[in-house]
Amino acid sequence: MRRRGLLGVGLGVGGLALGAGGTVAVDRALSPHEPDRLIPFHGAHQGGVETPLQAHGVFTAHDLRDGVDLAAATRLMRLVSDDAARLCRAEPAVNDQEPELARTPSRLTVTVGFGPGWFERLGLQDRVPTGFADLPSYEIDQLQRRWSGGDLLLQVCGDDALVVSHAVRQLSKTVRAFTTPRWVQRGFSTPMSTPDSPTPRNLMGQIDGTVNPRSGTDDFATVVWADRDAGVDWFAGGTMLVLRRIAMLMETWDELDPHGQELAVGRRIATGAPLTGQQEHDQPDLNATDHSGLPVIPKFSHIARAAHTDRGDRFLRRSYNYDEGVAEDGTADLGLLFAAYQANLTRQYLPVQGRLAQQDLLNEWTVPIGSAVFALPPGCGPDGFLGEGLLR
Amino acid sequence: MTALLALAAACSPSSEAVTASDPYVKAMPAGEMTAAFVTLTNTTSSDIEVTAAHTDAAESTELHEMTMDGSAMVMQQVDAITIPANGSVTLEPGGFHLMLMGLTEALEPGAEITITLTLSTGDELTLTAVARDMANAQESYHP
Repeated sequence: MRRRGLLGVGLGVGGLALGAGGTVAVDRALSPHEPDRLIPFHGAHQGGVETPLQAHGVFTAHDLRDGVDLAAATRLMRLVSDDAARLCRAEPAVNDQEPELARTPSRLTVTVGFGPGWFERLGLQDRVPTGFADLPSYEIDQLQRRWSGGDLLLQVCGDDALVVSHAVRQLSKTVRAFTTPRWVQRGFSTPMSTPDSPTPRNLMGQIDGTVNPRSGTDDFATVVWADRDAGVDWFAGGTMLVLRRIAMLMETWDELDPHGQELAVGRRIATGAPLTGQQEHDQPDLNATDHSGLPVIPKFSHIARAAHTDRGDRFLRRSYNYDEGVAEDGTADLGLLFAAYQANLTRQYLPVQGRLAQQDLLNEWTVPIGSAVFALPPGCGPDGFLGEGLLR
Repeated sequence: MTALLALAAACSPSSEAVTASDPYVKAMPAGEMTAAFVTLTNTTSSDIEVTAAHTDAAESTELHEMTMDGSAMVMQQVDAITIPANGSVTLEPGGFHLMLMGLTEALEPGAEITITLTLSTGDELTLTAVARDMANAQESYHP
Protein backbone atom coordinates (compact mmCIF):
# COMPACT_ATOMS: atom_id res chain seq x y z
CA MET A 1 0.00 0.00 0.00
CA ARG A 2 2.81 2.35 0.82
CA ARG A 3 4.38 1.91 -2.58
CA ARG A 4 1.07 2.25 -4.31
CA GLY A 5 0.39 5.55 -2.62
CA LEU A 6 3.72 6.91 -3.60
CA LEU A 7 3.26 5.89 -7.20
CA GLY A 8 0.06 7.87 -7.10
CA VAL A 9 2.12 10.90 -6.20
CA GLY A 10 4.46 10.01 -9.04
CA LEU A 11 1.55 10.28 -11.42
CA GLY A 12 0.58 13.53 -9.82
CA VAL A 13 3.74 15.26 -10.94
CA GLY A 14 2.55 14.78 -14.49
CA GLY A 15 4.98 14.23 -17.28
CA LEU A 16 7.88 13.96 -14.88
CA ALA A 17 6.70 10.51 -13.92
CA LEU A 18 7.86 9.43 -17.36
CA GLY A 19 11.46 10.34 -16.73
CA ALA A 20 13.89 10.42 -13.87
CA GLY A 21 11.26 11.88 -11.57
CA GLY A 22 9.35 8.63 -11.46
CA THR A 23 12.44 6.69 -10.48
CA VAL A 24 13.22 9.06 -7.67
CA ALA A 25 9.68 8.80 -6.36
CA VAL A 26 9.92 5.01 -6.29
CA ASP A 27 13.35 4.95 -4.69
CA ARG A 28 12.25 7.18 -1.86
CA ALA A 29 9.32 4.94 -1.08
CA LEU A 30 11.34 1.78 -0.70
CA SER A 31 13.16 0.47 2.33
CA PRO A 32 16.96 0.61 2.18
CA HIS A 33 17.17 -2.86 0.68
CA GLU A 34 14.54 -2.48 -1.95
CA PRO A 35 16.28 -0.17 -4.43
CA ASP A 36 18.43 -3.19 -5.20
CA ARG A 37 15.33 -4.78 -6.58
CA LEU A 38 15.16 -2.25 -9.43
CA ILE A 39 17.68 -2.56 -12.26
CA PRO A 40 17.90 0.71 -14.21
CA PHE A 41 16.57 0.32 -17.73
CA HIS A 42 18.32 3.41 -19.08
CA GLY A 43 22.09 3.50 -19.43
CA ALA A 44 25.05 2.87 -21.68
CA HIS A 45 24.30 -0.85 -21.87
CA GLN A 46 21.10 -2.85 -21.75
CA GLY A 47 20.25 -4.66 -18.54
CA GLY A 48 20.01 -8.41 -18.25
CA VAL A 49 23.60 -9.03 -19.33
CA GLU A 50 25.87 -7.68 -16.61
CA THR A 51 22.99 -7.99 -14.14
CA PRO A 52 23.63 -10.87 -11.70
CA LEU A 53 21.46 -13.76 -12.87
CA GLN A 54 17.81 -13.45 -11.85
CA ALA A 55 15.66 -16.45 -10.91
CA HIS A 56 13.59 -16.47 -14.09
CA GLY A 57 14.42 -15.77 -17.71
CA VAL A 58 12.03 -15.79 -20.67
CA PHE A 59 13.30 -15.42 -24.21
CA THR A 60 10.73 -14.65 -26.91
CA ALA A 61 11.51 -14.40 -30.61
CA HIS A 62 9.36 -12.62 -33.16
CA ASP A 63 9.45 -12.25 -36.94
CA LEU A 64 8.74 -8.93 -38.61
CA ARG A 65 5.46 -8.82 -40.49
CA ASP A 66 5.53 -8.12 -44.21
CA GLY A 67 5.49 -4.41 -44.88
CA VAL A 68 7.21 -3.36 -41.67
CA ASP A 69 9.67 -0.72 -42.82
CA LEU A 70 12.20 1.46 -41.01
CA ALA A 71 9.54 3.91 -39.88
CA ALA A 72 7.42 1.12 -38.44
CA ALA A 73 10.43 -0.54 -36.82
CA THR A 74 11.21 2.80 -35.19
CA ARG A 75 7.68 3.05 -33.81
CA LEU A 76 7.99 -0.52 -32.59
CA MET A 77 11.22 0.13 -30.73
CA ARG A 78 9.88 3.35 -29.19
CA LEU A 79 6.89 1.45 -27.82
CA VAL A 80 8.98 -1.47 -26.57
CA SER A 81 11.43 0.91 -24.89
CA ASP A 82 8.59 2.82 -23.26
CA ASP A 83 6.99 -0.37 -21.91
CA ALA A 84 10.34 -1.72 -20.75
CA ALA A 85 11.38 1.46 -18.95
CA ARG A 86 8.14 1.57 -16.99
CA LEU A 87 8.05 -2.13 -16.16
CA CYS A 88 11.67 -2.06 -14.98
CA ARG A 89 10.72 0.76 -12.59
CA ALA A 90 7.96 -1.56 -11.28
CA GLU A 91 5.34 0.71 -12.85
CA PRO A 92 2.55 -0.39 -15.18
CA ALA A 93 2.97 0.11 -18.91
CA VAL A 94 0.65 2.44 -20.80
CA ASN A 95 -2.79 0.78 -20.98
CA ASP A 96 -1.43 -2.03 -18.81
CA GLN A 97 -4.47 -4.18 -18.13
CA GLU A 98 -2.97 -5.95 -15.10
CA PRO A 99 -1.19 -2.98 -13.53
CA GLU A 100 -1.00 -4.64 -10.11
CA LEU A 101 1.31 -7.32 -11.51
CA ALA A 102 3.87 -4.70 -12.52
CA ARG A 103 4.32 -3.20 -9.08
CA THR A 104 6.57 -5.71 -7.35
CA PRO A 105 10.24 -4.73 -7.72
CA SER A 106 11.92 -7.98 -8.69
CA ARG A 107 15.12 -7.01 -10.54
CA LEU A 108 13.18 -7.06 -13.80
CA THR A 109 15.24 -6.52 -16.93
CA VAL A 110 14.05 -6.31 -20.53
CA THR A 111 16.71 -6.83 -23.17
CA VAL A 112 16.16 -6.46 -26.90
CA GLY A 113 18.10 -8.11 -29.73
CA PHE A 114 18.01 -8.07 -33.53
CA GLY A 115 18.39 -11.31 -35.49
CA PRO A 116 19.93 -11.54 -38.97
CA GLY A 117 16.45 -11.29 -40.50
CA TRP A 118 15.89 -7.91 -38.85
CA PHE A 119 18.73 -6.42 -40.86
CA GLU A 120 17.70 -8.17 -44.09
CA ARG A 121 14.02 -7.29 -43.94
CA LEU A 122 14.71 -3.65 -43.10
CA GLY A 123 17.40 -3.26 -45.75
CA LEU A 124 20.09 -2.67 -43.14
CA GLN A 125 22.57 -5.30 -44.34
CA ASP A 126 25.34 -2.71 -44.54
CA ARG A 127 24.88 -1.89 -40.87
CA VAL A 128 25.38 -5.39 -39.50
CA PRO A 129 28.09 -5.28 -36.84
CA THR A 130 31.38 -6.94 -37.67
CA GLY A 131 31.44 -10.50 -36.38
CA PHE A 132 27.66 -10.97 -36.33
CA ALA A 133 26.30 -13.85 -38.40
CA ASP A 134 24.29 -17.04 -38.07
CA LEU A 135 26.24 -19.98 -36.72
CA PRO A 136 27.39 -22.61 -39.19
CA SER A 137 25.60 -25.94 -38.86
CA TYR A 138 27.34 -28.49 -36.68
CA GLU A 139 27.16 -32.27 -36.88
CA ILE A 140 26.00 -32.44 -33.28
CA ASP A 141 23.01 -30.20 -34.04
CA GLN A 142 19.48 -31.55 -34.19
CA LEU A 143 17.93 -28.12 -34.52
CA GLN A 144 14.19 -27.63 -34.58
CA ARG A 145 12.70 -24.60 -36.25
CA ARG A 146 10.40 -24.04 -33.28
CA TRP A 147 13.40 -23.19 -31.10
CA SER A 148 15.55 -21.45 -33.70
CA GLY A 149 16.02 -18.13 -35.46
CA GLY A 150 13.93 -14.99 -35.16
CA ASP A 151 14.10 -11.36 -36.28
CA LEU A 152 13.52 -9.78 -32.87
CA LEU A 153 14.40 -11.05 -29.41
CA LEU A 154 12.87 -9.95 -26.14
CA GLN A 155 14.73 -11.29 -23.12
CA VAL A 156 12.83 -10.72 -19.89
CA CYS A 157 14.45 -11.68 -16.60
CA GLY A 158 13.43 -11.16 -12.99
CA ASP A 159 13.21 -12.81 -9.61
CA ASP A 160 9.39 -13.02 -9.47
CA ALA A 161 7.88 -15.36 -12.07
CA LEU A 162 4.56 -13.53 -11.95
CA VAL A 163 6.17 -10.18 -12.69
CA VAL A 164 8.21 -11.71 -15.51
CA SER A 165 5.15 -13.37 -17.01
CA HIS A 166 3.24 -10.11 -16.91
CA ALA A 167 6.07 -8.19 -18.55
CA VAL A 168 6.28 -10.80 -21.33
CA ARG A 169 2.53 -10.59 -21.86
CA GLN A 170 2.55 -6.78 -21.99
CA LEU A 171 5.48 -6.68 -24.41
CA SER A 172 3.90 -9.38 -26.57
CA LYS A 173 0.81 -7.22 -26.95
CA THR A 174 2.94 -4.24 -27.88
CA VAL A 175 4.92 -6.05 -30.60
CA ARG A 176 2.07 -8.06 -32.14
CA ALA A 177 1.00 -5.37 -34.62
CA PHE A 178 4.52 -5.44 -36.07
CA THR A 179 5.58 -9.06 -35.65
CA THR A 180 4.37 -12.64 -35.48
CA PRO A 181 5.48 -14.85 -32.61
CA ARG A 182 8.18 -17.38 -33.46
CA TRP A 183 9.08 -19.10 -30.20
CA VAL A 184 9.06 -18.65 -26.45
CA GLN A 185 11.65 -20.29 -24.21
CA ARG A 186 11.25 -20.16 -20.46
CA GLY A 187 14.05 -20.80 -18.02
CA PHE A 188 14.87 -20.70 -14.34
CA SER A 189 17.92 -20.77 -12.14
CA THR A 190 19.07 -20.34 -8.62
CA PRO A 191 19.41 -16.55 -8.69
CA MET A 192 22.65 -14.67 -8.09
CA SER A 193 21.75 -11.64 -6.01
CA THR A 194 25.27 -10.22 -6.34
CA PRO A 195 28.34 -10.99 -8.47
CA ASP A 196 29.69 -12.81 -5.38
CA SER A 197 26.77 -15.22 -5.16
CA PRO A 198 27.63 -18.90 -5.63
CA THR A 199 27.70 -20.10 -9.23
CA PRO A 200 24.36 -21.83 -9.93
CA ARG A 201 24.03 -25.49 -10.89
CA ASN A 202 22.42 -26.89 -14.02
CA LEU A 203 19.98 -29.80 -14.13
CA MET A 204 22.81 -32.32 -14.43
CA GLY A 205 23.87 -31.07 -11.01
CA GLN A 206 27.01 -29.42 -12.31
CA ILE A 207 28.13 -25.99 -11.17
CA ASP A 208 27.77 -24.18 -14.49
CA GLY A 209 29.32 -20.80 -15.29
CA THR A 210 32.53 -20.91 -13.27
CA VAL A 211 34.77 -19.41 -15.92
CA ASN A 212 32.95 -16.16 -16.51
CA PRO A 213 34.05 -12.55 -16.73
CA ARG A 214 33.07 -10.83 -13.50
CA SER A 215 30.36 -8.15 -13.54
CA GLY A 216 31.70 -4.64 -13.11
CA THR A 217 35.27 -5.33 -14.20
CA ASP A 218 37.24 -4.01 -17.16
CA ASP A 219 37.64 -7.62 -18.22
CA PHE A 220 33.87 -7.96 -18.46
CA ALA A 221 33.64 -4.85 -20.61
CA THR A 222 36.37 -6.08 -22.93
CA VAL A 223 34.82 -9.50 -23.40
CA VAL A 224 31.15 -8.52 -23.59
CA TRP A 225 30.64 -4.95 -24.81
CA ALA A 226 31.39 -4.02 -28.38
CA ASP A 227 33.46 -0.92 -28.98
CA ARG A 228 34.07 1.11 -32.12
CA ASP A 229 35.80 -1.93 -33.59
CA ALA A 230 32.35 -3.28 -34.30
CA GLY A 231 32.66 -1.51 -37.64
CA VAL A 232 29.37 0.31 -37.22
CA ASP A 233 29.13 3.15 -34.73
CA TRP A 234 25.62 2.35 -33.59
CA PHE A 235 26.71 -0.94 -32.03
CA ALA A 236 29.28 0.47 -29.57
CA GLY A 237 28.08 -0.59 -26.13
CA GLY A 238 26.09 -3.50 -27.54
CA THR A 239 26.78 -7.21 -27.43
CA MET A 240 25.97 -10.38 -29.36
CA LEU A 241 23.91 -13.24 -27.98
CA VAL A 242 24.09 -16.88 -28.97
CA LEU A 243 21.12 -18.74 -27.51
CA ARG A 244 21.25 -22.52 -27.81
CA ARG A 245 18.57 -24.83 -26.49
CA ILE A 246 20.52 -27.86 -25.31
CA ALA A 247 18.53 -30.95 -24.40
CA MET A 248 20.01 -33.08 -21.64
CA LEU A 249 19.64 -36.83 -22.11
CA MET A 250 19.02 -37.53 -18.45
CA GLU A 251 18.09 -41.18 -18.84
CA THR A 252 21.51 -42.14 -20.20
CA TRP A 253 23.32 -39.58 -18.02
CA ASP A 254 21.74 -41.36 -15.05
CA GLU A 255 23.49 -44.56 -16.14
CA LEU A 256 26.86 -42.99 -15.39
CA ASP A 257 28.35 -43.23 -11.93
CA PRO A 258 29.53 -39.94 -10.44
CA HIS A 259 33.14 -40.65 -11.39
CA GLY A 260 32.18 -41.14 -15.04
CA GLN A 261 30.17 -37.92 -14.95
CA GLU A 262 33.14 -36.04 -13.53
CA LEU A 263 35.48 -37.39 -16.22
CA ALA A 264 33.08 -36.18 -18.92
CA VAL A 265 33.02 -32.70 -17.47
CA GLY A 266 36.55 -32.48 -16.05
CA ARG A 267 35.21 -31.10 -12.77
CA ARG A 268 33.94 -32.56 -9.53
CA ILE A 269 30.17 -32.47 -9.33
CA ALA A 270 30.02 -31.61 -5.63
CA THR A 271 32.39 -28.64 -5.60
CA GLY A 272 32.86 -27.68 -9.22
CA ALA A 273 36.60 -27.92 -8.67
CA PRO A 274 38.65 -29.11 -11.63
CA LEU A 275 39.81 -32.71 -11.23
CA THR A 276 43.29 -31.30 -10.65
CA GLY A 277 42.18 -28.87 -7.93
CA GLN A 278 40.36 -28.50 -4.65
CA GLN A 279 38.10 -25.49 -5.15
CA GLU A 280 35.76 -24.25 -7.85
CA HIS A 281 37.93 -21.42 -9.04
CA ASP A 282 41.23 -23.34 -9.01
CA GLN A 283 42.86 -23.17 -12.42
CA PRO A 284 42.57 -26.56 -14.20
CA ASP A 285 45.93 -28.20 -14.97
CA LEU A 286 45.20 -29.73 -18.34
CA ASN A 287 48.70 -31.26 -18.51
CA ALA A 288 48.57 -33.10 -15.18
CA THR A 289 48.82 -36.89 -15.43
CA ASP A 290 48.01 -39.63 -12.95
CA HIS A 291 50.34 -42.43 -11.76
CA SER A 292 49.72 -44.37 -14.95
CA GLY A 293 50.54 -41.40 -17.14
CA LEU A 294 46.96 -40.65 -18.23
CA PRO A 295 45.67 -37.06 -18.12
CA VAL A 296 43.80 -36.33 -14.87
CA ILE A 297 41.42 -34.14 -16.87
CA PRO A 298 40.63 -36.17 -20.01
CA LYS A 299 41.64 -34.43 -23.23
CA PHE A 300 38.10 -34.71 -24.57
CA SER A 301 36.38 -33.61 -21.36
CA HIS A 302 34.14 -30.58 -21.58
CA ILE A 303 36.44 -28.15 -19.79
CA ALA A 304 39.52 -29.30 -21.70
CA ARG A 305 37.77 -28.69 -25.00
CA ALA A 306 36.08 -25.46 -23.91
CA ALA A 307 39.19 -23.94 -22.30
CA HIS A 308 40.08 -20.73 -24.07
CA THR A 309 43.28 -20.72 -26.02
CA ASP A 310 43.98 -17.01 -25.74
CA ARG A 311 42.26 -13.87 -24.47
CA GLY A 312 40.20 -13.75 -27.63
CA ASP A 313 37.90 -16.75 -27.39
CA ARG A 314 36.01 -15.98 -24.20
CA PHE A 315 32.44 -14.94 -23.54
CA LEU A 316 29.87 -14.47 -20.79
CA ARG A 317 27.64 -17.44 -20.08
CA ARG A 318 24.31 -16.45 -18.56
CA SER A 319 22.28 -19.59 -18.99
CA TYR A 320 18.93 -20.71 -17.67
CA ASN A 321 17.59 -24.21 -17.11
CA TYR A 322 14.43 -25.39 -18.79
CA ASP A 323 12.12 -28.21 -17.72
CA GLU A 324 9.08 -28.90 -19.89
CA GLY A 325 8.12 -32.10 -18.12
CA VAL A 326 8.00 -35.35 -20.06
CA ALA A 327 8.56 -35.74 -23.79
CA GLU A 328 6.26 -37.85 -25.96
CA ASP A 329 8.65 -40.80 -25.67
CA GLY A 330 8.44 -40.65 -21.89
CA THR A 331 11.91 -39.21 -21.33
CA ALA A 332 12.64 -36.07 -19.36
CA ASP A 333 12.23 -32.95 -21.52
CA LEU A 334 14.75 -30.69 -19.85
CA GLY A 335 18.04 -29.00 -20.47
CA LEU A 336 19.78 -25.70 -20.72
CA LEU A 337 18.98 -22.41 -22.40
CA PHE A 338 22.65 -21.78 -23.04
CA ALA A 339 23.14 -18.04 -23.43
CA ALA A 340 26.54 -16.67 -24.43
CA TYR A 341 27.25 -12.94 -24.76
CA GLN A 342 30.29 -11.50 -26.48
CA ALA A 343 31.41 -8.37 -28.30
CA ASN A 344 32.24 -10.33 -31.45
CA LEU A 345 30.50 -13.64 -32.08
CA THR A 346 32.70 -14.81 -34.93
CA ARG A 347 35.95 -14.11 -33.15
CA GLN A 348 35.05 -15.11 -29.61
CA TYR A 349 32.31 -17.73 -29.81
CA LEU A 350 32.87 -19.73 -32.97
CA PRO A 351 36.31 -21.12 -32.02
CA VAL A 352 34.93 -22.58 -28.79
CA GLN A 353 31.74 -23.92 -30.36
CA GLY A 354 33.81 -25.43 -33.15
CA ARG A 355 36.02 -27.32 -30.70
CA LEU A 356 33.07 -28.55 -28.66
CA ALA A 357 31.15 -29.66 -31.74
CA GLN A 358 34.16 -31.56 -32.96
CA GLN A 359 34.91 -33.38 -29.72
CA ASP A 360 33.43 -33.09 -26.24
CA LEU A 361 32.60 -36.08 -24.05
CA LEU A 362 29.49 -34.25 -22.83
CA ASN A 363 28.04 -34.36 -26.36
CA GLU A 364 27.04 -37.94 -25.60
CA TRP A 365 24.40 -36.61 -23.19
CA THR A 366 23.61 -33.18 -24.62
CA VAL A 367 21.93 -32.31 -27.91
CA PRO A 368 21.48 -28.79 -29.32
CA ILE A 369 17.86 -28.61 -30.48
CA GLY A 370 17.57 -24.85 -30.91
CA SER A 371 19.88 -22.06 -31.99
CA ALA A 372 19.52 -18.35 -32.55
CA VAL A 373 21.78 -15.30 -32.68
CA PHE A 374 20.92 -11.69 -31.91
CA ALA A 375 22.77 -8.38 -31.95
CA LEU A 376 21.81 -6.55 -28.74
CA PRO A 377 22.02 -2.80 -29.28
CA PRO A 378 23.51 -0.54 -26.61
CA GLY A 379 21.25 0.94 -23.95
CA CYS A 380 19.36 4.19 -24.35
CA GLY A 381 18.60 7.31 -22.34
CA PRO A 382 15.20 8.42 -21.01
CA ASP A 383 14.50 10.43 -24.16
CA GLY A 384 15.76 7.75 -26.53
CA PHE A 385 14.84 4.21 -27.51
CA LEU A 386 16.64 0.94 -28.06
CA GLY A 387 18.13 0.65 -31.51
CA GLU A 388 17.94 4.39 -32.17
CA GLY A 389 21.46 4.49 -33.54
CA LEU A 390 20.60 1.82 -36.09
CA LEU A 391 17.16 3.05 -37.08
CA ARG A 392 17.71 6.80 -37.17
CA MET B 1 7.96 13.21 -21.94
CA THR B 2 7.07 14.31 -25.43
CA ALA B 3 3.76 15.52 -24.15
CA LEU B 4 5.35 17.57 -21.42
CA LEU B 5 7.79 19.19 -23.81
CA ALA B 6 5.00 19.94 -26.25
CA LEU B 7 3.07 21.37 -23.37
CA ALA B 8 5.89 23.61 -22.29
CA ALA B 9 6.44 24.83 -25.80
CA ALA B 10 2.84 25.34 -26.77
CA CYS B 11 1.27 26.92 -23.75
CA SER B 12 1.29 30.25 -22.00
CA PRO B 13 2.68 30.26 -18.44
CA SER B 14 -0.74 30.22 -16.78
CA SER B 15 -1.65 26.96 -18.50
CA GLU B 16 0.84 25.10 -16.32
CA ALA B 17 -2.07 24.97 -13.93
CA VAL B 18 -2.87 21.72 -15.71
CA THR B 19 -0.34 19.08 -16.64
CA ALA B 20 -0.86 15.94 -18.67
CA SER B 21 0.79 12.57 -18.40
CA ASP B 22 0.80 9.55 -20.67
CA PRO B 23 -1.59 10.63 -23.43
CA TYR B 24 -2.43 7.66 -25.66
CA VAL B 25 -4.96 6.75 -28.29
CA LYS B 26 -6.26 3.46 -29.60
CA ALA B 27 -4.77 2.56 -32.98
CA MET B 28 -7.48 2.32 -35.66
CA PRO B 29 -7.84 2.31 -39.46
CA ALA B 30 -8.62 5.48 -41.40
CA GLY B 31 -12.24 6.59 -41.31
CA GLU B 32 -12.96 4.79 -38.05
CA MET B 33 -13.64 6.34 -34.70
CA THR B 34 -11.32 5.91 -31.79
CA ALA B 35 -10.70 7.11 -28.25
CA ALA B 36 -7.85 8.95 -26.58
CA PHE B 37 -6.85 8.84 -22.93
CA VAL B 38 -4.68 10.89 -20.57
CA THR B 39 -4.25 11.78 -16.92
CA LEU B 40 -4.78 15.48 -16.26
CA THR B 41 -3.56 17.10 -13.05
CA ASN B 42 -4.75 20.42 -11.71
CA THR B 43 -2.15 22.23 -9.60
CA THR B 44 -4.45 25.10 -8.64
CA SER B 45 -6.90 25.38 -5.76
CA SER B 46 -9.89 25.75 -8.09
CA ASP B 47 -11.62 23.16 -10.24
CA ILE B 48 -10.79 23.44 -13.95
CA GLU B 49 -12.91 21.97 -16.72
CA VAL B 50 -11.95 20.58 -20.08
CA THR B 51 -14.64 22.08 -22.29
CA ALA B 52 -13.57 20.93 -25.76
CA ALA B 53 -10.99 18.91 -27.64
CA HIS B 54 -9.65 19.14 -31.16
CA THR B 55 -7.28 17.20 -33.37
CA ASP B 56 -6.52 17.45 -37.06
CA ALA B 57 -6.32 13.65 -37.08
CA ALA B 58 -10.11 13.32 -36.95
CA GLU B 59 -13.11 15.01 -38.52
CA SER B 60 -14.55 15.79 -35.10
CA THR B 61 -13.63 15.26 -31.47
CA GLU B 62 -16.01 15.07 -28.52
CA LEU B 63 -15.79 14.58 -24.77
CA HIS B 64 -17.39 11.31 -23.72
CA GLU B 65 -17.95 9.08 -20.76
CA MET B 66 -19.06 5.50 -20.29
CA THR B 67 -21.96 5.03 -17.89
CA MET B 68 -24.29 2.24 -16.88
CA ASP B 69 -27.70 2.28 -18.52
CA GLY B 70 -29.56 -0.48 -16.76
CA SER B 71 -27.24 -3.45 -17.19
CA ALA B 72 -25.29 -2.13 -20.21
CA MET B 73 -22.37 0.26 -20.49
CA VAL B 74 -23.21 3.04 -22.86
CA MET B 75 -21.23 5.94 -24.17
CA GLN B 76 -22.57 9.43 -23.88
CA GLN B 77 -21.31 12.86 -24.74
CA VAL B 78 -20.57 15.25 -21.88
CA ASP B 79 -20.25 19.02 -21.92
CA ALA B 80 -17.13 19.12 -19.80
CA ILE B 81 -14.71 16.97 -17.80
CA THR B 82 -13.77 18.40 -14.44
CA ILE B 83 -10.19 18.30 -13.18
CA PRO B 84 -10.65 18.75 -9.43
CA ALA B 85 -8.66 21.41 -7.56
CA ASN B 86 -5.29 20.05 -6.44
CA GLY B 87 -6.28 16.73 -7.94
CA SER B 88 -6.38 14.83 -11.15
CA VAL B 89 -8.74 13.05 -13.48
CA THR B 90 -7.77 10.00 -15.49
CA LEU B 91 -9.38 9.51 -18.89
CA GLU B 92 -9.30 5.75 -19.37
CA PRO B 93 -11.09 2.89 -21.08
CA GLY B 94 -14.48 2.43 -19.47
CA GLY B 95 -14.57 6.01 -18.21
CA PHE B 96 -14.04 9.50 -19.52
CA HIS B 97 -12.34 9.66 -22.91
CA LEU B 98 -11.84 11.88 -25.90
CA MET B 99 -13.88 10.53 -28.81
CA LEU B 100 -12.26 10.99 -32.21
CA MET B 101 -14.72 10.51 -35.07
CA GLY B 102 -13.67 9.94 -38.66
CA LEU B 103 -9.91 9.43 -38.52
CA THR B 104 -8.42 11.29 -41.45
CA GLU B 105 -5.75 8.63 -41.85
CA ALA B 106 -4.87 5.26 -40.36
CA LEU B 107 -3.53 5.50 -36.86
CA GLU B 108 -0.80 2.85 -36.61
CA PRO B 109 0.61 1.69 -33.28
CA GLY B 110 3.39 4.02 -32.20
CA ALA B 111 2.14 6.90 -34.35
CA GLU B 112 1.67 10.23 -32.62
CA ILE B 113 -1.15 12.74 -32.98
CA THR B 114 -1.56 16.18 -31.50
CA ILE B 115 -4.71 16.91 -29.51
CA THR B 116 -5.60 20.34 -28.16
CA LEU B 117 -7.79 20.65 -25.10
CA THR B 118 -9.70 23.83 -24.33
CA LEU B 119 -9.88 24.61 -20.62
CA SER B 120 -12.44 26.61 -18.69
CA THR B 121 -9.64 29.04 -17.83
CA GLY B 122 -9.51 29.99 -21.49
CA ASP B 123 -6.15 28.28 -21.92
CA GLU B 124 -5.35 25.50 -24.31
CA LEU B 125 -3.39 22.38 -23.50
CA THR B 126 -1.62 20.54 -26.29
CA LEU B 127 -1.03 16.80 -25.97
CA THR B 128 0.97 14.41 -28.10
CA ALA B 129 -0.86 11.09 -27.87
CA VAL B 130 0.88 7.85 -28.84
CA ALA B 131 -1.22 5.24 -30.63
CA ARG B 132 -1.41 1.84 -28.93
CA ASP B 133 -2.61 -1.54 -30.13
CA MET B 134 -5.50 -2.01 -27.69
CA ALA B 135 -7.98 -4.84 -27.30
CA ASN B 136 -9.88 -2.83 -24.72
CA ALA B 137 -11.67 0.46 -25.28
CA GLN B 138 -14.19 -1.40 -27.45
CA GLU B 139 -16.68 1.39 -26.78
CA SER B 140 -14.76 3.51 -29.21
CA TYR B 141 -15.92 1.62 -32.26
CA HIS B 142 -18.99 -0.26 -31.08
CA PRO B 143 -20.90 2.63 -29.57
